[in-house]
Amino acid sequence: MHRQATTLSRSLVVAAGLVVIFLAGCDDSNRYPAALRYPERADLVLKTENTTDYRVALPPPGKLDEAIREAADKKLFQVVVDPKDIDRKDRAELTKALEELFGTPAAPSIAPIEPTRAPRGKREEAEENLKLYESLLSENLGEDISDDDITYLVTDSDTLNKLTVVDPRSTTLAKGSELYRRHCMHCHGVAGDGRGPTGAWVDPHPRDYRQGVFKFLSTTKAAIASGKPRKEDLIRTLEKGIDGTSMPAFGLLPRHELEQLASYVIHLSLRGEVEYDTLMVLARDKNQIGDDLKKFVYQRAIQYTGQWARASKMEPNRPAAYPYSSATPEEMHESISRGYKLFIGKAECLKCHMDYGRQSAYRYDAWGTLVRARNLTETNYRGGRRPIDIYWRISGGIPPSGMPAHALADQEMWDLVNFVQALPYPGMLPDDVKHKVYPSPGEKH
Amino acid sequence: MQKGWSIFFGVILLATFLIWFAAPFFGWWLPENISTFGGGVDNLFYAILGLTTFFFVLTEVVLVYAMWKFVDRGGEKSVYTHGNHTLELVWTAIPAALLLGIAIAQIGVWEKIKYQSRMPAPDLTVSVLARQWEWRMRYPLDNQQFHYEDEDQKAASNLKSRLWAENPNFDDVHAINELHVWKNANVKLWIRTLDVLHSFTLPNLRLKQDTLPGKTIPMWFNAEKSNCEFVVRERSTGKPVTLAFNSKTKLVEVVTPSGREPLEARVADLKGELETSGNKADNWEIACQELCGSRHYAMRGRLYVHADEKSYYAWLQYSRGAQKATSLEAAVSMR
Repeated sequence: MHRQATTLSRSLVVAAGLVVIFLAGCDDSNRYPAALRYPERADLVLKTENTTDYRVALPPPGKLDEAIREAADKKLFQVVVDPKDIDRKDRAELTKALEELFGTPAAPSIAPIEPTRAPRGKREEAEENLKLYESLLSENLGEDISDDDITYLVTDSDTLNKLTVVDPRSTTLAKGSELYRRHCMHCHGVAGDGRGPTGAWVDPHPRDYRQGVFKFLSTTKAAIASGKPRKEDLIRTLEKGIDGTSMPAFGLLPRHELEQLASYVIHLSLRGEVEYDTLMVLARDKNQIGDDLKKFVYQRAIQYTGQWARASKMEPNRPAAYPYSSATPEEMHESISRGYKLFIGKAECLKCHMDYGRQSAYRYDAWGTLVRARNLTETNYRGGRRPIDIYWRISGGIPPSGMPAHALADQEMWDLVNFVQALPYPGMLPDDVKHKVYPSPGEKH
Repeated sequence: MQKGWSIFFGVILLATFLIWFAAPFFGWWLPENISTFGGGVDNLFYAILGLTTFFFVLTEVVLVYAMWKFVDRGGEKSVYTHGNHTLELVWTAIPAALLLGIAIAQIGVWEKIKYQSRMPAPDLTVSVLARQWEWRMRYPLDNQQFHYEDEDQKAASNLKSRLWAENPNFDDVHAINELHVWKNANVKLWIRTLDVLHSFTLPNLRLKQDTLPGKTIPMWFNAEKSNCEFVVRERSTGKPVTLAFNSKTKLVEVVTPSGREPLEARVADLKGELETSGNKADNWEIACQELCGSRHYAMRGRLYVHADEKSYYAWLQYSRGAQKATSLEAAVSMR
């Protein structure tokens, strides 16, 4: 009898335990744990400006860092810095400064926090940090950037509309971090390094934001020397996804959530770029920093914030009026033929888009991974399929992956766009062009 | 004390049963049916649910009763049996007869939904390409090309639309995660996948089809209820514009005092928006029901059933215009 009672009570204890776990397991919050810190960068810090073509096989899946290290050992990159070689003391100082500026994944920011919001014992320190930050502001931000410009970068319309929100910037970023954790982190990683659990397994690899450069810009590199996108460009990428890659579209999320995500990505990119840059300088030209590493980090953070704000303020590159809005089919064919001649001639597209992209060679992009010029006979366009998207790609280039910017006359630009748009559809091409692009078997081209 | 176990299991089973009854009141039930054939699916579902419920309750009652009744009675020896032929025949024959009954009862519904030969001539054709983790839809600008009146033309039309599904056209309108159709239209879908298995599911239409790598699979439906309308406004003033629709050419035009212009050409100064009731129940979902990877849960879309053909074509031609954007003004025309 006694034994049976023990069995029953044991089962009840187990059942009660399961109930507790079940109830505790369902938490609505997507927030990162408060104690979680951004990880220190451990992968190689690279600078690549490689224009050499490679006929290679892609590294096997899941070997992102191994492949980069291998290429670095073969001296395929311009500059390689191993974060392991940085003095431990400097590294600790850098990490601390980064945390003062950018907070933690659960409480992200882009500037030192208000002393009133700092934990009790740390108010004095927070006051000092803020003072240092503010003293460096005017000198490093640029006079064209106002406080509103920065607010625009890191707030969303929903938060701004709510009267109860005390600090729209950190509220937006905190919400962005929750959304990021849910939708993006598993590929793009906690630090935005493109090294989340699934990151290494997809090709092309998810974007690593920590270099502060992006591919799909509606401004030109000439206009924005920093190569930063507009916040609106990031939002569009989120909305539409990137066809032909693993980046899905998030167009069904409400607009303010997309804004929150874009703001958080800007935050991650800022943090990553300051870290990237400081590591580069620490390894190669330490004198530039002097004896105040913290000040250097703060200065860089402000400078990059200014760059982001400047890019977002910028009007997109305005194309010349499209001359073929009411063109006849014959006029369209003529335009496509002219575009074709530009493609194989003056614009030098064939140099990289070999055989219209069917046989493009690999090159290393800014992040040290292998990419190739798009196969334009396929119907997907990563930066968007609208003529204006293709116009922006051609006129501004895709700097991080080696696509150069093209300066062509207005009409030439649109001729080229027309040709690129018609290229995947043989039926859209004039006969002579069609035979060149899609030769029948046995025919030479 | 040992009788406690039969009470324990009895209570758990009773609770399960009651939760199941309470579920519809919490909204944990099938969403509203909007398709012509959904009623047949629901009837089958309820018939099978009724049958299984009956036998479930019966067996559980017998089980719990047996636990209660035949619990250790101290010192009594168990009786061994080598089975009962009649009993086994009965419990094999009854389910077999029931299964056969279900198999026969479902033929009509299945045939209507899944048989290619029974699919009606399409008013609208859409290509659905699944990939990790989204649905990429493609709409032909001209739906007339796949329409047929004569059954003899069916095979040819079918092949033509299938080839279209596999080979994009220059004019096609692309949308991601959004399936647009109109009320009472016979819709034909061609389902493909770029990568792994997915399952294209439209709960409100009681429709579901796995996507298989390398296969182009047809589906059809007809929605009897709408949940949206496409409204076009002047961008500067916000005033709705009047649209004219030619049901023969399917061309939507903007009517202005000075004349008519194709909607497609005017996207730069117009703003088109989908107006919905805003009710949660009118958010008709597209879901993936095949675990397809780490973001499977997010592979969702929306089903928009326009009030009429005009609204659909307005959306289609406006989207086409937005997709042809060559100016900054047109570039902001559509989210």
